[in-house]
Amino acid sequence: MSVITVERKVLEKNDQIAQKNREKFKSKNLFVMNFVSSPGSGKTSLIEKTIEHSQGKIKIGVIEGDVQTSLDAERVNKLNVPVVQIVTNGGCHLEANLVRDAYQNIENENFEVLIIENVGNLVCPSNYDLGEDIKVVILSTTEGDDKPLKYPAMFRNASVLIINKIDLIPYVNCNLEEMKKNALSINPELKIFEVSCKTNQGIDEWVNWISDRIKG
Amino acid sequence: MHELSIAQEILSIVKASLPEPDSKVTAIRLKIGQLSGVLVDSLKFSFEAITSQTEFENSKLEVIEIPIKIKCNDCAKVSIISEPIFLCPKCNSFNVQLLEGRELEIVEIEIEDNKEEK
Repeated sequence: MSVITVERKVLEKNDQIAQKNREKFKSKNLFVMNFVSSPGSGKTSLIEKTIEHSQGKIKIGVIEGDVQTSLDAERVNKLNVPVVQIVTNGGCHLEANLVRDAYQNIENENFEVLIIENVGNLVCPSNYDLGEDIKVVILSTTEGDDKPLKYPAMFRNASVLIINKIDLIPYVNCNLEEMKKNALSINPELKIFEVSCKTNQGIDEWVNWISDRIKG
Repeated sequence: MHELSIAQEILSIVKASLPEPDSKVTAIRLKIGQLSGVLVDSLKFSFEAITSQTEFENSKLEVIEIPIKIKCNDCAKVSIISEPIFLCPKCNSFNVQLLEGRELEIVEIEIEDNKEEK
């Protein structure tokens, strides 16, 4: 029996490509956000609202990740921004090489913020660096206030938490204060926005925050 | 359910680390942190599935599970916490840094010595 020391990260190949993506994005002066959430929390709606409310202020490009269909890219495409769809065909998360290849399709377009919409899943995407500047986790009030405690890795790795569907608070069994407390117990540095993509509550504040980030 | 793609990455790193292409791997030792998002049973199942009836059929995945270790930035206390609530057990501060718990690494592999070697 002999033992061979390996000491290698299992996802090193992904990490290396992500690092190359990061360098490329930096050379293009892009601010890159990776949107993660469970399915149906409102990632695509938030992207639509972010684009609508940043008209004339911020130029946005979008990479849409989905398990099947290009429905989301079609929605975003109506807003006349550069958009490219990745279909993972069953894959539960985006990987850095998929983002690298997708980005080539919109590389020459003019935008300063890139939003990558990950596959709806609060587990797997937390392991895969895509080369983004920040992860933005979206959580809707219908999902319940305990989710940060159940998916700690995702909340720990995110910089921003967007609580969506805030207009439904009177109708659902979700304690907003408890949700925020749980999220901050996992990650005290989370910047939290409360928004509704239905009533537009909080959207301008969120857009202003992005605007400050790219000017800062 | 990304354990299957993780199992495939493990296999490709192991293959690339072999001294000889036909070395027989008996064990693969991994470090997996409690916050890595990887379910060990599911990873083992996936690994068995992709190595079944191959030269890696008898290669065992041995997992060293790494608990969540934090260090308090206020009182400097290092603690191991069982739940991922990032609170210093000594001074109740949330201002803590994660030292360990996110690992997903191949530490070493064990191979059978070639008996025909002269």
